[in-house]
Amino acid sequence: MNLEQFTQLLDVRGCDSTAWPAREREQAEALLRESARARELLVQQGRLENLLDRIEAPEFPDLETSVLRRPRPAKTAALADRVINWLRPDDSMLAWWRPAFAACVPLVFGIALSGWFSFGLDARDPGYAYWDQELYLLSLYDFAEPVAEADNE
Amino acid sequence: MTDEELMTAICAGDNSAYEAIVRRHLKPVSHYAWRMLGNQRDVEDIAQDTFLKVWINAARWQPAKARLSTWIHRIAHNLCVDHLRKRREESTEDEAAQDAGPLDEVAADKEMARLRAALGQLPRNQRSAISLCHYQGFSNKEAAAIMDVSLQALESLLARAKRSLRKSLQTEEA
Repeated sequence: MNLEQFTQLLDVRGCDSTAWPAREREQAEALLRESARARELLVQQGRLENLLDRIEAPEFPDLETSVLRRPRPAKTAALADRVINWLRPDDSMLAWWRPAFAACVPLVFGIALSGWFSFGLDARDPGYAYWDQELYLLSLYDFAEPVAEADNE
Repeated sequence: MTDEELMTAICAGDNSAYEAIVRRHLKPVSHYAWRMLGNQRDVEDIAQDTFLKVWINAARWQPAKARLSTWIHRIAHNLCVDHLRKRREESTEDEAAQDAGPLDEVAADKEMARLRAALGQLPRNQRSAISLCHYQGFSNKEAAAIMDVSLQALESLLARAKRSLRKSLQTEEA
Protein backbone atom coordinates (compact mmCIF):
# COMPACT_ATOMS: atom_id res chain seq x y z
CA MET A 1 0.00 0.00 0.00
CA ASN A 2 1.32 3.43 -0.90
CA LEU A 3 0.52 6.79 0.70
CA GLU A 4 -2.16 7.65 -1.86
CA GLN A 5 -3.99 4.39 -1.23
CA PHE A 6 -3.63 4.95 2.51
CA THR A 7 -5.16 8.45 2.18
CA GLN A 8 -8.04 6.96 0.18
CA LEU A 9 -8.56 4.36 2.90
CA LEU A 10 -8.68 7.08 5.58
CA ASP A 11 -11.11 9.18 3.56
CA VAL A 12 -13.44 6.31 2.81
CA ARG A 13 -13.27 4.29 6.04
CA GLY A 14 -12.16 6.88 8.60
CA CYS A 15 -9.23 6.67 11.00
CA ASP A 16 -10.67 3.90 13.18
CA SER A 17 -8.61 0.90 12.10
CA THR A 18 -11.29 -1.55 13.26
CA ALA A 19 -13.51 -0.26 10.44
CA TRP A 20 -10.89 -1.08 7.80
CA PRO A 21 -11.21 -4.27 5.74
CA ALA A 22 -8.92 -6.98 7.18
CA ARG A 23 -6.59 -7.26 4.19
CA GLU A 24 -6.14 -3.50 3.87
CA ARG A 25 -5.70 -3.16 7.63
CA GLU A 26 -2.64 -5.40 7.57
CA GLN A 27 -1.10 -3.41 4.72
CA ALA A 28 -2.00 -0.08 6.35
CA GLU A 29 -0.52 -1.10 9.68
CA ALA A 30 2.67 -2.16 7.94
CA LEU A 31 2.81 1.22 6.20
CA LEU A 32 2.20 3.04 9.49
CA ARG A 33 5.14 1.24 11.08
CA GLU A 34 7.41 2.25 8.22
CA SER A 35 6.25 5.72 7.18
CA ALA A 36 6.26 8.88 9.28
CA ARG A 37 4.14 10.58 6.58
CA ALA A 38 1.46 7.89 6.94
CA ARG A 39 1.38 8.47 10.70
CA GLU A 40 1.06 12.20 10.06
CA LEU A 41 -1.87 11.59 7.68
CA LEU A 42 -3.56 9.46 10.34
CA VAL A 43 -3.18 12.28 12.89
CA GLN A 44 -4.60 14.82 10.43
CA GLN A 45 -7.57 12.58 9.70
CA GLY A 46 -8.18 12.06 13.43
CA ARG A 47 -8.10 15.82 13.98
CA LEU A 48 -10.58 16.39 11.17
CA GLU A 49 -12.95 13.77 12.54
CA ASN A 50 -12.74 15.24 16.05
CA LEU A 51 -13.59 18.68 14.72
CA LEU A 52 -16.48 17.28 12.69
CA ASP A 53 -17.78 15.59 15.85
CA ARG A 54 -17.85 18.97 17.58
CA ILE A 55 -20.34 20.37 15.07
CA GLU A 56 -23.52 19.26 16.76
CA ALA A 57 -26.97 19.64 15.32
CA PRO A 58 -29.38 21.67 17.49
CA GLU A 59 -32.41 20.17 19.18
CA PHE A 60 -35.86 20.96 17.82
CA PRO A 61 -38.10 20.71 20.88
CA ASP A 62 -41.45 21.49 19.23
CA LEU A 63 -40.85 19.50 16.10
CA GLU A 64 -42.33 16.25 17.39
CA THR A 65 -45.58 17.96 18.34
CA SER A 66 -45.88 19.70 14.98
CA VAL A 67 -45.16 16.48 13.06
CA LEU A 68 -47.74 14.53 15.07
CA ARG A 69 -50.33 17.28 14.81
CA ARG A 70 -50.15 17.48 11.06
CA PRO A 71 -53.34 16.02 9.56
CA ARG A 72 -52.87 12.73 7.78
CA PRO A 73 -55.12 11.08 5.20
CA ALA A 74 -57.28 8.25 6.53
CA LYS A 75 -56.00 4.78 5.80
CA THR A 76 -58.14 2.77 3.39
CA ALA A 77 -57.83 -0.99 3.32
CA ALA A 78 -57.26 -2.86 0.08
CA LEU A 79 -60.43 -3.70 -1.91
CA ALA A 80 -60.18 -7.45 -1.16
CA ASP A 81 -59.80 -6.75 2.57
CA ARG A 82 -62.79 -4.43 2.53
CA VAL A 83 -64.94 -7.04 0.80
CA ILE A 84 -63.90 -9.74 3.28
CA ASN A 85 -64.53 -7.43 6.23
CA TRP A 86 -67.97 -6.62 4.84
CA LEU A 87 -68.82 -10.30 4.40
CA ARG A 88 -67.62 -11.25 7.88
CA PRO A 89 -68.76 -8.48 10.21
CA ASP A 90 -68.49 -8.77 13.99
CA ASP A 91 -72.22 -8.36 14.43
CA SER A 92 -73.81 -11.86 14.62
CA MET A 93 -76.99 -10.83 12.74
CA LEU A 94 -75.08 -9.26 9.90
CA ALA A 95 -72.78 -12.26 9.82
CA TRP A 96 -75.73 -14.36 8.50
CA TRP A 97 -77.54 -12.14 6.07
CA ARG A 98 -74.57 -10.58 4.35
CA PRO A 99 -73.10 -13.89 3.05
CA ALA A 100 -76.65 -14.93 2.08
CA PHE A 101 -77.10 -11.68 0.23
CA ALA A 102 -73.75 -12.17 -1.49
CA ALA A 103 -74.77 -15.71 -2.50
CA CYS A 104 -78.00 -14.37 -4.08
CA VAL A 105 -76.16 -11.87 -6.23
CA PRO A 106 -75.20 -14.41 -8.99
CA LEU A 107 -78.81 -15.71 -9.06
CA VAL A 108 -80.26 -12.23 -9.49
CA PHE A 109 -77.61 -11.49 -12.06
CA GLY A 110 -78.58 -14.64 -14.02
CA ILE A 111 -82.28 -13.76 -13.98
CA ALA A 112 -81.55 -10.22 -15.10
CA LEU A 113 -79.26 -11.47 -17.85
CA SER A 114 -81.85 -13.91 -19.20
CA GLY A 115 -84.40 -11.08 -19.24
CA TRP A 116 -82.16 -8.94 -21.39
CA PHE A 117 -80.71 -11.47 -23.80
CA SER A 118 -82.51 -14.03 -25.99
CA PHE A 119 -79.54 -16.44 -26.19
CA GLY A 120 -80.50 -17.35 -29.82
CA LEU A 121 -84.20 -18.07 -29.15
CA ASP A 122 -86.51 -16.10 -31.36
CA ALA A 123 -90.07 -15.62 -30.12
CA ARG A 124 -91.34 -15.33 -33.73
CA ASP A 125 -90.04 -18.82 -34.58
CA PRO A 126 -93.08 -21.20 -34.72
CA GLY A 127 -91.10 -23.84 -32.84
CA TYR A 128 -90.64 -21.43 -29.98
CA ALA A 129 -94.30 -21.78 -29.02
CA TYR A 130 -93.86 -25.52 -28.43
CA TRP A 131 -90.52 -25.59 -26.69
CA ASP A 132 -92.13 -26.67 -23.42
CA GLN A 133 -93.81 -29.63 -25.15
CA GLU A 134 -90.53 -30.61 -26.79
CA LEU A 135 -88.87 -30.57 -23.41
CA TYR A 136 -91.64 -32.78 -22.06
CA LEU A 137 -91.21 -35.31 -24.90
CA LEU A 138 -87.46 -35.30 -24.43
CA SER A 139 -87.96 -36.16 -20.78
CA LEU A 140 -89.97 -39.28 -21.80
CA TYR A 141 -87.25 -40.59 -24.10
CA ASP A 142 -85.33 -43.56 -22.69
CA PHE A 143 -81.71 -42.65 -23.19
CA ALA A 144 -80.64 -46.00 -21.63
CA GLU A 145 -81.82 -47.89 -24.76
CA PRO A 146 -78.76 -48.99 -26.78
CA VAL A 147 -78.58 -47.37 -30.17
CA ALA A 148 -77.41 -50.55 -31.97
CA GLU A 149 -80.42 -52.58 -30.79
CA ALA A 150 -82.80 -49.89 -31.88
CA ASP A 151 -81.25 -49.96 -35.38
CA ASN A 152 -81.62 -53.81 -35.66
CA GLU A 153 -85.28 -53.69 -34.84
CA MET B 1 -42.19 -3.33 19.41
CA THR B 2 -39.89 -3.66 16.43
CA ASP B 3 -39.93 -1.27 13.47
CA GLU B 4 -41.49 -4.02 11.39
CA GLU B 5 -44.38 -4.53 13.82
CA LEU B 6 -44.96 -0.80 14.06
CA MET B 7 -44.99 -0.40 10.29
CA THR B 8 -47.50 -3.25 9.94
CA ALA B 9 -49.70 -1.45 12.46
CA ILE B 10 -49.31 1.83 10.53
CA CYS B 11 -50.50 0.04 7.37
CA ALA B 12 -53.70 -0.73 9.28
CA GLY B 13 -54.02 2.92 10.31
CA ASP B 14 -52.74 2.65 13.90
CA ASN B 15 -51.99 6.18 15.15
CA SER B 16 -50.08 5.08 18.24
CA ALA B 17 -47.69 3.04 16.06
CA TYR B 18 -47.15 6.15 13.94
CA GLU B 19 -46.36 8.19 17.04
CA ALA B 20 -43.84 5.54 18.13
CA ILE B 21 -42.13 5.62 14.72
CA VAL B 22 -41.98 9.43 14.79
CA ARG B 23 -40.47 9.43 18.30
CA ARG B 24 -37.90 6.83 17.27
CA HIS B 25 -36.76 8.36 13.97
CA LEU B 26 -37.51 12.09 14.12
CA LYS B 27 -34.24 13.14 15.75
CA PRO B 28 -31.87 11.61 13.17
CA VAL B 29 -34.08 12.82 10.32
CA SER B 30 -34.19 16.38 11.67
CA HIS B 31 -30.42 16.40 12.22
CA TYR B 32 -29.83 15.16 8.69
CA ALA B 33 -32.15 17.81 7.25
CA TRP B 34 -30.39 20.48 9.30
CA ARG B 35 -26.99 19.41 8.04
CA MET B 36 -28.30 19.51 4.48
CA LEU B 37 -30.40 22.69 4.63
CA GLY B 38 -29.11 24.64 7.59
CA ASN B 39 -32.17 26.35 9.00
CA GLN B 40 -34.97 25.41 11.35
CA ARG B 41 -37.93 26.35 9.15
CA ASP B 42 -36.81 24.05 6.35
CA VAL B 43 -36.03 21.27 8.82
CA GLU B 44 -39.61 21.42 10.05
CA ASP B 45 -40.97 21.21 6.49
CA ILE B 46 -38.75 18.28 5.60
CA ALA B 47 -39.53 16.39 8.82
CA GLN B 48 -43.27 16.86 8.38
CA ASP B 49 -43.21 15.81 4.73
CA THR B 50 -40.96 12.83 5.46
CA PHE B 51 -43.23 11.37 8.12
CA LEU B 52 -46.35 12.10 6.08
CA LYS B 53 -44.80 10.02 3.29
CA VAL B 54 -43.96 7.30 5.81
CA TRP B 55 -47.65 7.22 6.84
CA ILE B 56 -48.93 7.14 3.26
CA ASN B 57 -46.36 4.72 1.83
CA ALA B 58 -45.84 2.45 4.84
CA ALA B 59 -46.81 -0.63 2.83
CA ARG B 60 -44.01 0.04 0.36
CA TRP B 61 -41.21 -0.46 2.88
CA GLN B 62 -39.54 -3.84 2.34
CA PRO B 63 -37.74 -4.93 5.52
CA ALA B 64 -35.74 -7.52 3.58
CA LYS B 65 -34.23 -4.80 1.39
CA ALA B 66 -33.40 -2.01 3.84
CA ARG B 67 -33.58 -1.03 7.50
CA LEU B 68 -36.40 1.36 8.29
CA SER B 69 -33.96 4.14 9.18
CA THR B 70 -32.33 3.74 5.75
CA TRP B 71 -35.73 3.92 4.02
CA ILE B 72 -36.81 6.98 6.02
CA HIS B 73 -33.49 8.73 5.36
CA ARG B 74 -33.92 8.02 1.68
CA ILE B 75 -37.28 9.81 1.77
CA ALA B 76 -35.74 12.70 3.69
CA HIS B 77 -32.76 12.85 1.33
CA ASN B 78 -34.99 13.07 -1.75
CA LEU B 79 -37.04 15.82 -0.12
CA CYS B 80 -33.87 17.75 0.79
CA VAL B 81 -32.57 17.43 -2.77
CA ASP B 82 -35.90 18.70 -4.16
CA HIS B 83 -35.87 21.52 -1.63
CA LEU B 84 -32.33 22.59 -2.52
CA ARG B 85 -33.14 22.41 -6.22
CA LYS B 86 -36.20 24.59 -5.74
CA ARG B 87 -34.24 26.98 -3.58
CA ARG B 88 -31.57 27.28 -6.24
CA GLU B 89 -34.21 28.08 -8.86
CA GLU B 90 -35.66 30.81 -6.69
CA SER B 91 -32.29 31.86 -5.34
CA THR B 92 -31.50 35.37 -4.29
CA GLU B 93 -28.21 36.35 -2.76
CA ASP B 94 -29.64 36.04 0.73
CA GLU B 95 -30.93 32.57 0.08
CA ALA B 96 -27.67 31.54 -1.51
CA ALA B 97 -25.95 32.51 1.69
CA GLN B 98 -28.49 30.46 3.62
CA ASP B 99 -27.73 27.50 1.37
CA ALA B 100 -24.25 27.48 2.84
CA GLY B 101 -25.59 25.04 5.41
CA PRO B 102 -25.22 25.02 9.17
CA LEU B 103 -23.15 28.16 9.27
CA ASP B 104 -25.54 30.65 10.71
CA GLU B 105 -24.09 30.38 14.17
CA VAL B 106 -20.94 32.33 14.89
CA ALA B 107 -18.29 29.80 15.76
CA ALA B 108 -16.19 30.54 18.80
CA ASP B 109 -12.90 29.44 17.42
CA LYS B 110 -11.55 30.09 13.97
CA GLU B 111 -10.74 26.49 13.17
CA MET B 112 -14.30 25.43 13.76
CA ALA B 113 -15.60 28.43 11.83
CA ARG B 114 -13.44 27.52 8.88
CA LEU B 115 -14.54 23.91 9.00
CA ARG B 116 -18.19 24.95 9.20
CA ALA B 117 -17.66 27.23 6.23
CA ALA B 118 -15.96 24.44 4.31
CA LEU B 119 -18.80 22.05 5.14
CA GLY B 120 -21.33 24.58 3.93
CA GLN B 121 -19.45 25.13 0.70
CA LEU B 122 -19.26 21.44 -0.14
CA PRO B 123 -21.33 20.40 -3.14
CA ARG B 124 -24.69 18.95 -2.13
CA ASN B 125 -23.75 15.30 -2.78
CA GLN B 126 -20.49 15.53 -0.86
CA ARG B 127 -22.24 17.16 2.09
CA SER B 128 -24.85 14.46 2.01
CA ALA B 129 -22.20 11.71 1.94
CA ILE B 130 -20.38 13.21 4.94
CA SER B 131 -23.64 13.69 6.86
CA LEU B 132 -24.84 10.14 6.29
CA CYS B 133 -21.54 8.37 6.93
CA HIS B 134 -20.00 10.54 9.63
CA TYR B 135 -22.97 11.95 11.54
CA GLN B 136 -25.86 9.58 10.90
CA GLY B 137 -23.73 6.47 11.33
CA PHE B 138 -24.72 4.68 8.14
CA SER B 139 -22.34 2.27 6.45
CA ASN B 140 -21.00 3.33 3.06
CA LYS B 141 -23.30 0.80 1.41
CA GLU B 142 -26.38 2.13 3.20
CA ALA B 143 -25.44 5.73 2.43
CA ALA B 144 -25.04 4.80 -1.24
CA ALA B 145 -28.52 3.25 -1.19
CA ILE B 146 -30.00 6.37 0.43
CA MET B 147 -28.39 8.63 -2.14
CA ASP B 148 -29.15 6.21 -4.98
CA VAL B 149 -25.55 6.12 -6.17
CA SER B 150 -23.06 3.26 -6.54
CA LEU B 151 -20.72 2.38 -3.68
CA GLN B 152 -17.75 3.57 -5.75
CA ALA B 153 -19.46 6.90 -6.42
CA LEU B 154 -20.17 7.34 -2.71
CA GLU B 155 -16.57 6.56 -1.77
CA SER B 156 -15.39 9.05 -4.35
CA LEU B 157 -17.73 11.70 -2.89
CA LEU B 158 -16.44 10.96 0.62
CA ALA B 159 -12.81 11.18 -0.47
CA ARG B 160 -13.36 14.49 -2.28
CA ALA B 161 -15.27 15.93 0.65
CA LYS B 162 -12.62 14.97 3.19
CA ARG B 163 -9.90 16.35 0.93
CA SER B 164 -11.70 19.70 0.73
CA LEU B 165 -12.21 19.81 4.47
CA ARG B 166 -8.59 18.93 5.20
CA LYS B 167 -7.50 21.61 2.76
CA SER B 168 -9.61 24.19 4.59
CA LEU B 169 -7.85 23.36 7.87
CA GLN B 170 -4.43 23.37 6.24
CA THR B 171 -5.13 26.79 4.68
CA GLU B 172 -5.80 28.12 8.14
CA GLU B 173 -2.53 26.76 9.43
CA ALA B 174 -0.62 28.25 6.47
